[in-house]
Amino acid sequence: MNRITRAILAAVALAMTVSFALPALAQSAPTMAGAASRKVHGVAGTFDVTLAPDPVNPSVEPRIGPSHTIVFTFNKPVTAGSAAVGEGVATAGAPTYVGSEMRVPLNGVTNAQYVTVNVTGVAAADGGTGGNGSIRVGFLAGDVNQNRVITLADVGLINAQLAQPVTAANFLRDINANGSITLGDKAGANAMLATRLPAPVNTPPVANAGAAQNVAPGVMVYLDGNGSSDVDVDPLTFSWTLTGKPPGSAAALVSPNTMTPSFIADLVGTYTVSLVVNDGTANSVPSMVTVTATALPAADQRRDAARLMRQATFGATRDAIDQVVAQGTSAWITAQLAKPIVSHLTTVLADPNLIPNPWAVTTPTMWKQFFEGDDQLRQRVGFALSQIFVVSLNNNAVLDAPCGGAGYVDLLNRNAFGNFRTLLRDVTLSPVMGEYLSMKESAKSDPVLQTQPDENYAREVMQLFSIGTVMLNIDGSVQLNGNGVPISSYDENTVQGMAKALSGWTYAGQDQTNPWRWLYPDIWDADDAIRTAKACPAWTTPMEPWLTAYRSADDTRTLTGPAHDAGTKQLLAYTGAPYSMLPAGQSALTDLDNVIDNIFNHPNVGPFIAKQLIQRLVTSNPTPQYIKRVALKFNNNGSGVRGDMATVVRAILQDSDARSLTVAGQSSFGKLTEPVIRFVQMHRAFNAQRASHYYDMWDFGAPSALNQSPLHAPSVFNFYHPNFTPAGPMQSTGLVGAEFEITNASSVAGFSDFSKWGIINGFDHYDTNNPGHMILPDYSYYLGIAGTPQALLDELDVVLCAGGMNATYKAQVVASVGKVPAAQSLERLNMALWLIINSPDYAVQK
Amino acid sequence: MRHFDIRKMKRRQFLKLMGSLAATPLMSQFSELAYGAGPFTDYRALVCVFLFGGNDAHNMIVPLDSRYATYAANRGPLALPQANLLANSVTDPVQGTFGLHPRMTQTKGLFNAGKLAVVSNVGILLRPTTKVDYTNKYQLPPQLFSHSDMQDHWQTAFPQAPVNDGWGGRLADMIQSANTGQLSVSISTASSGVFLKGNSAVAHQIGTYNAAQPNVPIVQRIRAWRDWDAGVNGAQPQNVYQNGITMARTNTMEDQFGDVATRSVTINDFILASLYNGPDVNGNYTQKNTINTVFPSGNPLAAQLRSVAMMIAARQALGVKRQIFFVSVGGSFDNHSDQFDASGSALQPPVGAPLILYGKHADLLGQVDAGLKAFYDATVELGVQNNVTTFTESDFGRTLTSNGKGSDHGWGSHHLVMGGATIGHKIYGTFHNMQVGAGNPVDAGQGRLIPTNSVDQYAATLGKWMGANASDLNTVFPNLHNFPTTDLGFLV
Repeated sequence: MNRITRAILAAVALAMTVSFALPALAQSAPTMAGAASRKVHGVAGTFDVTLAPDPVNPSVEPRIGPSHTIVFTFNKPVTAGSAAVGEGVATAGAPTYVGSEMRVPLNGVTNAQYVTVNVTGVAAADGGTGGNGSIRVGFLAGDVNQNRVITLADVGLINAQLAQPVTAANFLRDINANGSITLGDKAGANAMLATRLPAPVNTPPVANAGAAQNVAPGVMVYLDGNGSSDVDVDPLTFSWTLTGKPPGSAAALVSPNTMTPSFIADLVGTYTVSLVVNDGTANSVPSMVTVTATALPAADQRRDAARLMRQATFGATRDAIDQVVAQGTSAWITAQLAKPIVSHLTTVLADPNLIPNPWAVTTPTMWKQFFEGDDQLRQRVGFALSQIFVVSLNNNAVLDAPCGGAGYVDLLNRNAFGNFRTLLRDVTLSPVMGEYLSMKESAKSDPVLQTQPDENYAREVMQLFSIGTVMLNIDGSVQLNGNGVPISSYDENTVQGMAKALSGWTYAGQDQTNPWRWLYPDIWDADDAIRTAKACPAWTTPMEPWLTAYRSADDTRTLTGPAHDAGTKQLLAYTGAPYSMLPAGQSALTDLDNVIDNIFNHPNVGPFIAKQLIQRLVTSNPTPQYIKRVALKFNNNGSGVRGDMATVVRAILQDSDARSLTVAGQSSFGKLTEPVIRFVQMHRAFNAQRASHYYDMWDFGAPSALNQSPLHAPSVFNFYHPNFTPAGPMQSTGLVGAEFEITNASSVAGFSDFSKWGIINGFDHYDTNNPGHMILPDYSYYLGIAGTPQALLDELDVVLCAGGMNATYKAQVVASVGKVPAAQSLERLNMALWLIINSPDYAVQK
Repeated sequence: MRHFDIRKMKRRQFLKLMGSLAATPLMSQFSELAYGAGPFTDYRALVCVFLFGGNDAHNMIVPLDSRYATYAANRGPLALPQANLLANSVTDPVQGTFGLHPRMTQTKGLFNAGKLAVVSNVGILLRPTTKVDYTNKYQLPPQLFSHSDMQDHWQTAFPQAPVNDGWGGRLADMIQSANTGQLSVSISTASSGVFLKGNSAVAHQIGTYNAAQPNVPIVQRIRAWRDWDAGVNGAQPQNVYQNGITMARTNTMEDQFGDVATRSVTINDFILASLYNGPDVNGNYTQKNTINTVFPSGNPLAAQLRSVAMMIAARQALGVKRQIFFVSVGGSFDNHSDQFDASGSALQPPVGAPLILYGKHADLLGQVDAGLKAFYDATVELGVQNNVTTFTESDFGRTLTSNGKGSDHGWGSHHLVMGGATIGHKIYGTFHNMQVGAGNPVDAGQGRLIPTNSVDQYAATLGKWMGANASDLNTVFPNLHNFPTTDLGFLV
């Protein structure tokens, strides 16, 4: 219909031209004189954005809307032609002709793009034909100042004209073209901040693979393509290739398609890496970077190995140092990660003491692995995890739970190099944790008793085990609101929602046909046979939902099951949060898995866990960059997996901050080693073991002992708070040092007295008359070199202090030891050991 | 070795200088303050008893008027039977009759004798806060209901930002000059967290008295290996050790550890000499001062307070006029689901007895009751009952509603103040109506009380008694000026 109308009009025009044009000469083709983008602004009128006829520097149309009109103006009246879109997302409608204007409707225009409209076969009213034209325009809604990017300047321009009449001078501010400049226009621009048009003509980007690096072998090398550039400011993608490495190296790039990939420089030699960046249109020329891993001097190799032992184990031995030197850091960690878990539960079940003393067997097997295990990295990381996911044998119910403690430590050790989601889920369903933080038998609300689901675990799983109370940046720093106040991660509503979502769980294997078993589970049955058969499995198997009728908390009524809350639940709300609101009616198990996913994917988890593990293993005050490097590994291990703990542990220990002797020399680097580790370390150094291999040492938590004992934290807040700062030099310099919270005038004296007997003749706090219980050191090597005090101190320095002893102090110890007659070699060794083990040089690992 | 003392002094002066330069604005205000009035003539001590975990004060003191029925309905399984409370009732002349927890018989005695007061609904606030404020989240302390944060807030009295000093420490900074010896104003028997940390004041930790070994000192001294052989072979390990812990070091944590060890050596020696005779030839000590008051055994709080009593008894030898002590009862007050779990209790519920009268919380209140009474009696024995004021702190109160076997984290809570200077036999602040929801103007939900007395007011009342003037109090408690009353009136 339209086409027919147009044809008639054209014919009429032609006839008119013929009738008036005398004589009928051939007319020239119409030529394009200009172009504009036109919109009607309601009652305010119609306004044009003049379009420059320059495809290299096209004009910008800042007004929104899927339909626009592009007006081509010719040098004379035009009557026909055709229009097509040559570039961009838009379709050209049928043109109309008014005088010398050819008006092309443009539909389906998307934002932030260039559109080129071509018109051809344009016929003039005077009979001229074959005219054509082309115009290129950039559409960027809200770009009032037409500089191809939306900034606050654009918002400001709108703001300055709010409520003013729309005129030819200010119509660009009426970005929705509704005839008035309003807050809606401002909000529209605000919402588009930082949106930009690509450069009109693409220039290939320039790759920059970063500066050459010199590293020690075994360090995780981070490459940085941040120096790459593109004059068009297009988003870049990265493609890195490891083009050269030393023979035999297993180095491989992790995350080669990110800006900051990494690889482990496992061997001495040169690594060559190439970077190509792409701007969406073109590749860059490759940029090359070389990373040179230079062998440390022999003395520093032993220091480095000993430092790794202080960070990753319960203490170095001369043999272990030699092994790390021979094997290399990377291979040693690989081997440690591969060591199978030694199950404490298996040990406990085989323990003849189990039946008479069901509780008294967890810490002996823990101590045994600390002292003797060859899975030292797992033990050390497991000990760190036991200080994050705290349960404590100071709690009577936990202490009395047969197999419970051992099973729980197994759970931590099993997941130490696994995935954090599994760890979090296993901890949540652990009956031991269920007892300790009372998620077990937390029931939906009882309207008669006015009871509510228990909030204890619901709160602490967020506050202590995963995200903390405030929002974090990827580098562990706290996010502040506009008033400089930290932004909370959750509120009381979320805690209550979590509590409801986690309600309704009890021991596995309960007889759920018996409502009383909810209140009086059969693992506490008076019948020995029932208890013995049920207790160990119940305390070591994940909890199960209670699905059937159960007794009220005051044991007066039978309530309808399941015990799980059936309502909706508010969980954590954050950008991209899965399951931020749980629908009503889900099962306890579905709710639980939704909760785990909701927490696990919170952006705080990476920096929160990274920082705490760094603080337990390497240094109390990690740099934000160190935290960020590890947190990014938590977020993605390079294969798209989040929460891969083996990758996180490796990233912590092989970070340049952890390995560099230069960093180790900085005043703020290092940490006060936990007393438990200091205690084990001073025995391991001399291969001190119990002949019985049975370490029945329970609670060393008194200040007169270690002021710390494994699995004996005073509360779920562990032995100390992560941000504790002691009064004194650390407070003056703004450093935190959690371990100082249990280090005071009493405990320092206590440690000195407690450790003395281990030095003298082997440690045994329990039964000095039973030789099988003595933890006997093997001093033979050191007695052999005690004739030369300097040699003795040099070796003790490496093994006990990772070569970090203060030179002045060391010289004084050498002099002091030298005063003891050489024939009294054990006396010399004892004095040297006492002076080292009580010194700041030993207490602080650097 | 001969440079030892000089180097140490230089480093300390340097650190002090650095401390004042690097201090936060909050702390820097204190560095120039000191008591112009000069040394005090009398002796006064504050003893903070921190009940870690959040004491369920809803069950510590219960109104016995018409509010009891509301209490019982809202508490459900946690409600204490009225008969048991009645049997232990205390009467406030104005607010009527209340029941203390049945385990707190001696507390009742102290209350009715006028030596103990209850301060109702104390908690962390930034300013006076109404239910509407709470609903609108208007100027609330951050991280409400979190253990670690609210413990810190009780101790810092500055909830709006993390600070590295507590109000006890800031008060100690100002009164340290009252003491002539080297001993700090601040003494703790437990890790005191941030409470006793000041700008210049450093809390000193002492050990817990062991009734089974009364002459084992409550502080230990570090004695180097073969110290006693030093004169024979000239190795002098004790001197080498002390040099090692006092020498300036590159690493700040080594410096810090050295400082702790140095305090252990010097101050513990000083305390040993002040409290004990000895050591004799066998290395044994005997107590210098007699304390005949019997402290109950098996009571960790009482054992700590016995140590405090020993320090107070030795106050002249120690050269102290003002002291702030910190003792604590462990984290077991966090009774989410084990409030009446009696599995670890010495006192087992007889058949048919209400279970709520037994178990963890009852045992803990019994521990507090017996510990406080023994300590009060000891101060009477030492003649300092009017010079020693003991008060409780805790993370928070708890919900009035229950989980069945316990309750959740709350906010405001009731606290005890004890001593001869206490205007006792009185409940301070208007006791709330025990309702949950709209009927209770101080309920933030589930019976979490919006505090009507702030920690600042509670603590400033104690600080004023210690001798701080109004200006000092506003410095120690930066939020105090937000509250209409700075003295709650419970001390003479």
